Amino acid sequence: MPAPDPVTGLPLSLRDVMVAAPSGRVLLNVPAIDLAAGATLAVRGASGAGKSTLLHVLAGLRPVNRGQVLWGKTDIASLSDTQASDFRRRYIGQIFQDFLLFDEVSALENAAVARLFSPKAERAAILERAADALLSLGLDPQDPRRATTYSGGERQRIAVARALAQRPAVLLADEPTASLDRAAADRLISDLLAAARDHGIGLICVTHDDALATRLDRVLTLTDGVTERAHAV
Amino acid sequence: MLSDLWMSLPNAAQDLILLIGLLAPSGLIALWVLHGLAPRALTQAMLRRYAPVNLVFVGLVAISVALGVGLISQERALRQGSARAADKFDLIVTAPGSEVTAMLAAVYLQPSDLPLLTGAQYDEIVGAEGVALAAPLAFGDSWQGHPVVGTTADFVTHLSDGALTGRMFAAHQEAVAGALAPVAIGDHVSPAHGAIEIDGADEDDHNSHGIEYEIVGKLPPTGSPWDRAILVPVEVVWELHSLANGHDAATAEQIGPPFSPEHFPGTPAVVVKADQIFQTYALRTEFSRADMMAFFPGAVLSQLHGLAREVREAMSLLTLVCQVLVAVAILSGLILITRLFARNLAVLRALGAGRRFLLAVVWGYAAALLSFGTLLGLGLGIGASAWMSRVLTARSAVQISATPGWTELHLTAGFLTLALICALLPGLLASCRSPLTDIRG
Ligand SMILES: Nc1ncnc2c1ncn2[C@@H]1O[C@H](COP(=O)(O)OP(=O)(O)O)[C@@H](O)[C@H]1O
Ligand SMILES: [Mg+2]
Repeated sequence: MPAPDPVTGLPLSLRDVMVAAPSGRVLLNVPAIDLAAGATLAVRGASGAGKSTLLHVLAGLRPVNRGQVLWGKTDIASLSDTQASDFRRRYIGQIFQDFLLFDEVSALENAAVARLFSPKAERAAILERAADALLSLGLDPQDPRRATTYSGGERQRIAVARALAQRPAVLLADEPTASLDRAAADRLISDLLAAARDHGIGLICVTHDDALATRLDRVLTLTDGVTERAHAV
Repeated sequence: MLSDLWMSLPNAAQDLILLIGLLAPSGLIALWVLHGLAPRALTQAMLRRYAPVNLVFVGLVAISVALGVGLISQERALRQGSARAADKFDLIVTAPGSEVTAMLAAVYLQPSDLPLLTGAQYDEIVGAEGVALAAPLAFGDSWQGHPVVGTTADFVTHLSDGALTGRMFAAHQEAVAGALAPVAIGDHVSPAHGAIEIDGADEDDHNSHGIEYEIVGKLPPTGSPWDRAILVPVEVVWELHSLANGHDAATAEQIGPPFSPEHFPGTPAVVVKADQIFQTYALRTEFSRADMMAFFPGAVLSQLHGLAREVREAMSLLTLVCQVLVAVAILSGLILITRLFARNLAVLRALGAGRRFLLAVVWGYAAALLSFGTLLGLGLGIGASAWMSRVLTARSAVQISATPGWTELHLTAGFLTLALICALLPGLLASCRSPLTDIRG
């Protein structure tokens, strides 16, 4: 067993970020967000408010028209495509509403998928972390079943294991419980929070789920792309 | 300098180098696309998701490659087989007419009505300077569909290359069988008048001559229709057809030359072998004249092969068009299927995979299908050609054997490399898509 991973949260600060659609419509307008390393944040807002857009900006998947998106000292918005990919691989774990697993391969193959595009030296560690994460989420890493055969709650846990296998500094989750029933959602919430706490990982979670939002450190509400409140709850 | 070096290499080395040269770009592409990445698991997942469609793609590629490979290999097999069958026939002299018809009759034992050379003409050929062997032929009889051909012991010896099993015919009712004639030494066969009959037909239907030959010897395989034949003293065939037997009263029982020109009933063709190769040319000139015709079967074959080459080239063009169409169709199919994986691929980008990883996964997927199809096609083409060869050999008795040749390997390697280059297209398209649009679903 390798030594436990060092806690490597990254503080976030957004400065004067503006994202506009090609039509010119402003999708996101954020004067400032500051989040300490390892802190958890709920992002709320009506459908179409720009919550997903914010996560994409944080992940460096969407270019900004203006502003800085600082993870620690790195402005992800200013990185090249390759640099941003590399940054995501190393620091950002992502979870999506509809899991987005590879249906044809096993839970472990899904959870350890990052090793396929990571440097050789890191591959064994990713596989090991994926197996550990699956175990700690109550899934059997040896199970050869294809991902499709798992229930929704289990698939989302595979997706969480996939994010954790990369040993990220922060987890970005876009409505992770929206496709789950209440029981599965509750379990996932506990799992996510436990994982974040245990590994010192930050968590930014878009959710309509009050049960989830109230358990995070802070809540940010978006209205038409504009931040309303970013206070401790 | 370099070309001198190239020419000095043995053929196999040149072919090998060419093959490597044709495959090298594939290797370089694979290296460039895959280095440092391990996309196999996801490539396999892609192969599995639409397995039936993927199998259809593989089948299409395989068929189009098999067509090309089969065509080349079969054409060469036909060419080599027909040339090998004519190996033993240096020069043929006949009465004026069609060289092709005469060749088909003398070399390939196709029944035909050839005008005859007279005894005097035959005598002149035998007596010409440099003639080592001048064998008259007598056609017209058969046994159970196998031609019974009258000729001389010298010619049978020439055909046997000294590897005759048993012994040469030495009496009127003795015969030597070709390697593929279904008789053994000691068997008796009774010939019937008439050209080649259908195998297994009832003997009573034939116009039986009422005599029997005893098989006393068996020829080694020559790869020509002569392998199916039963060779008998030419005198007997003539006698059976109520003709003079080539000898005067004093030597009436003799078998083989010399023949008496006055008692020579005529022969449709004389197979000539010269003492020296160069004399063959002189002999051809000598007997190419108003009342006789002399030709090299090999040269006539070359002309026929020349004609066949044009047909082959036309067919090659057609298979090429077919391959291009298949390639375009499959490429479009692969691009469409790749689009169906857009969300999976986008999520990889979101997780931190670079563009090249997507290229590697999709290229690997396309390359796996195309390579597998190509290799399958190579196998299919060789197999189909071998099967065709067996059928043709059985039908024509010309030994046709399709052995895989360098040309097919070069064609396949070239096709593979082109395919792997084209496989970059779906990969590049996938890797250039914005992950954002796809991840939103
Ligand atoms: N590429 C785009 N071009 C134009 N409009 C976009 C684009 N992407 C998102 N939008 C719009 O931006 C708004 C915010 O979208 P999104 O961030 O997905 O909202 P949420 O996740 O809060 O429901 C929506 O009105 C959506 O239609
Ligand atoms: Mg959204």
